[in-house]
Amino acid sequence: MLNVLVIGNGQCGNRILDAINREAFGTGSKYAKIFGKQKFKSNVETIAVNTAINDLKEMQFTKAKDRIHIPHLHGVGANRNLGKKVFESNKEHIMRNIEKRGRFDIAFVLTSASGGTGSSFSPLIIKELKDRYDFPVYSVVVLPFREEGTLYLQNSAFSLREIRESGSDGIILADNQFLKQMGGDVKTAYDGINTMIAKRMLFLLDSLDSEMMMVTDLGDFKTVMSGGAGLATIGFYQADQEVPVINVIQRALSSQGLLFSTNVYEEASRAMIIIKGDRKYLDIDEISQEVEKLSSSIGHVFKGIVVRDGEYPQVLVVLTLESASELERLYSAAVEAINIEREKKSRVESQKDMDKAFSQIDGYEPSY
Amino acid sequence: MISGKKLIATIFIALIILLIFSGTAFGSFKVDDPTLTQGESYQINSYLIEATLVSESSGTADIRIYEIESVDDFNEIERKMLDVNDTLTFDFQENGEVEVKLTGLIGRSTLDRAELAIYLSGYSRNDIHISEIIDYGDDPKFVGSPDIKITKEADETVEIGEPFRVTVRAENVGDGKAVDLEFTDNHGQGLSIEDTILEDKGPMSLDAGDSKTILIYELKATQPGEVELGTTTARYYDEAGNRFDSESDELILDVEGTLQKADVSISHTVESKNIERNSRLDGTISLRNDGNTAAKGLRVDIELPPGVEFVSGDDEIETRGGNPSIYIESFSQRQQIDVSYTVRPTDIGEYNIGANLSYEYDDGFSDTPEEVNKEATVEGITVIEAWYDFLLEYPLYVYAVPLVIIGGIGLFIIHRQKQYKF
Repeated sequence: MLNVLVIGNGQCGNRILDAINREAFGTGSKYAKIFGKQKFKSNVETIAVNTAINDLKEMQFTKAKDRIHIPHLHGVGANRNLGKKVFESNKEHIMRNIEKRGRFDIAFVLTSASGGTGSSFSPLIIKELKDRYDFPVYSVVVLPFREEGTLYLQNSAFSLREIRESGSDGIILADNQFLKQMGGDVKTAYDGINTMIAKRMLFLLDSLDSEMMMVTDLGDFKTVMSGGAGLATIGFYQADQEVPVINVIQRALSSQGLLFSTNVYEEASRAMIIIKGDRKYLDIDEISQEVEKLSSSIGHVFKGIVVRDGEYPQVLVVLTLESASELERLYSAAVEAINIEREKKSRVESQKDMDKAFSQIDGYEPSY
Repeated sequence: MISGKKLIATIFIALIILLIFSGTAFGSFKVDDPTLTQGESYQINSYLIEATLVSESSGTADIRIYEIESVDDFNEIERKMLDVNDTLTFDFQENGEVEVKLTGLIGRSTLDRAELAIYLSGYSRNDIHISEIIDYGDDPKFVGSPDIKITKEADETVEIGEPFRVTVRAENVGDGKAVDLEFTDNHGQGLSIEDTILEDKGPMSLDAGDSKTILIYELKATQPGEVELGTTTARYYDEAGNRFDSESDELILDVEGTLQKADVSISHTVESKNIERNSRLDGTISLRNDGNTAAKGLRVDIELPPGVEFVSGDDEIETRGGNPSIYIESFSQRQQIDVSYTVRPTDIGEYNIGANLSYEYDDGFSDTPEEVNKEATVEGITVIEAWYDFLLEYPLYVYAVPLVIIGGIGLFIIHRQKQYKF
C-alpha cells in the first residue's frame, strides 16, 4: 500500500483538498463525514495550509487536525513576497506537522499559481520536502482566469517558475481559463473545477495502488512525469451509459476531458492511460487501437486496465508536455501584466510630488 | 221444612250476632238495692234518686229523679209514684239508662221505708264514682267538669333574630276542679328558645274560675315569613277521675327580615374522559357563591381513587398525606374561582374523581354556624393502554441494549463532528 501525502496550499489548494476528501467518501452527502468512510486505496494523509483562517473554516470534509493555520491576519493579500516571509517564519511548524505523519512514497502539492499563500508557500514547501525527503513531489497547479487581474497573472508566472525550480518532480497543470467552458456562475465554476480535479486525483491515486489486468504503477507514473518539460496535465472521461471504450478514450484526450489546453498529439511527450470498467465494456482491440494511435504520435504510452464489475468505462490519461503553447501565451500576458504593474508603481512614485504641495503649510495653524 | 243442620247454623249465627252487639253496649247490672227512709236519696254520680213519700199502708212510694247541675242547682228530670214492683227509668248521662224498681215497703212507727233495686245499663260499672245513700238534710256530692282554656300571647309581627316574649295562661272556665293538670308546650318550627322566664307546667290543680300564668319565655325566629307558633296542650282530670284535654289556639306570626346564606355551587370537569395510561389529565373545579354572605372555611377534598396520582395544581390546592384539597378561608358573595389540577392515571380502568365541598356560614341569627356539604363527581373516566405501554412489558435489558447502541451512535457522531470542527 502506498503512503501518499496530499498538501493543499492557500484557498484554492484547500478547496481542492476538501473536494478530494469529500469525493473519497463516495457520496456527496454532508453526513458522509459522520457515517461514511473514505475509500482511499492507499494510506493517504491530507494537510491543508493557509494564512486565512476563514478559508480553513470553510472546509467541511477535512479533519480539523489536518488543517494548519499560519497566523498572519487574514491572509497575505496576493503578495508573494509577504507570503514567503510568513512561510519562513512558520516553516518548522509546517514541516513538523508533515514529519509526524510518517514516511511517504509520493506527495502532491495542490495550489493556485495566482493567489497569495498558495503561490508563495508552495515552491518553498516543495523545496523543503525535496531537501528533507527522497520521495517524489508533484504539484498540481491551477492557473487563473486571465481576466482576474494583473497581480494574479504576474504571481502565476513567477510562482510557476519557482515551483519548477524548487525541485518538483512534475507539475500537473489545470487552467481555470480553459475549464470555464463548463459554464455557470463563478462559484459553480470553481466548485465544478475543484470537483473535476479531485475526481482525477482520486482516480490516479486509486490506479497507482490497484491490482490491474494490465499494470501501471508508481514507477510508470514517475517515468511519465519525468518526461517532457516537467509540465503535465490530466485527461479524464467517465461514461454514464454504455459507450464504446474507444469513444471514452478519445473524449478523455479531447478538450472535453483535459484540465489544460493542449494539442495532445503535438505537444505531449509521454502518457499513461488507465482504463477502468466492467470487462464487457473493455474491448481490448479498441483500446489497443487508440493507444497505438497516441503512442505513434507522442512516443511511449503506459497502459493500465482496472476491471470493475458493473461500472461503465472510465479513462484517465496523464500527459507530460514537451511544449505548451497555452503556457507561452500565459507568460506573454504575464509580462504585459508585470509592465502594467511597474508603470502603475512609477505613476504612484511620481505622485509623491503631492507631498511637496502639502509641505508648504508645515508650521502653520488655521486662524479664525 | 228446615233441616236440623240448618237450624244449628242459624242458631250459631244468631249467637254470634248477639255477642257482637252485646260487646258494643254495656249490659244491665244492679247498682244497688238500697232501703230509703222517706226524705233520703240515693246518688249515682250526678243523679239523685229521692224517695219523697213512702207509705207502707198505701203501698206506694213517690220517687223523684234529679240531675245535679251544681252544688245548689238540682234539676228534676223524672218523677213517678211507684207501686211495689213498679219501675221507673231515666236517661243516665249520654247512653246509659237507670231502672229503679220498688221492691218493697217497710212500715215503721216514724217513717216508712222503701226498698229499691237500681239497675244501670249502657254504662260501665267502673265509671260509677258515687253510689251511696244521702241522708236527709245532707247535701249530695257534686262533681263538676273542669274546662281549661289555654291562652297563648305573643306579638303577631316579629323581626327575624329578635327575641320576643310568649306568655301562656290557663283558666278553668269549667264548673269543676281540674286536678293532675299538666301542660305540654311546643315552640313551633323556625323558632328557637332564647330564655325561659317562668315555667310551671304542673302537675297542679286549678279550681273552677281560677286562672294561672304557666309559661313565660322568649323565642327568636330563625326564618323569615309566616311562622306558626306551636300550641300548648293540657291534660287534666275532674275530681271524679275523668280525663280532659285542652289545646291553645294556633297563632301565626309574621316574621320580617332576611336570612343570610352562603350558597356556593360547585362544578367539576375534566378535559377528557378517555385518556392513555400515564398521560396527564387536567381537571377544573369551579366554585361560585350566589348567596348573600361569605362562606367560611371552604374546603374541597379531591378524592382520587387508587391508580390515579396527583401531579400538580393551582396555588389554592394543597396536599395532605398525598390527598389534594382546596382550602379557602373566606369565600365572598358573588366570588367565583376556577381551580385547575393535573393528575396522572397509572393503571388501566374506569375511574371516578370526586370533589367534596364543605363550608360554613353565619346566617346572622343562629348561635352556631350553618354547615353545608355538597359533592361533584366526574364519573366514567376511562384509562386505556398507552401506545408505548408494550415497552414496559419487557425486561430492562431489552431497553438497555438499544439505548447503549443509540448512546454509542450518539457518542460516535459527536466524536466525528469534533474531528471536523475547526
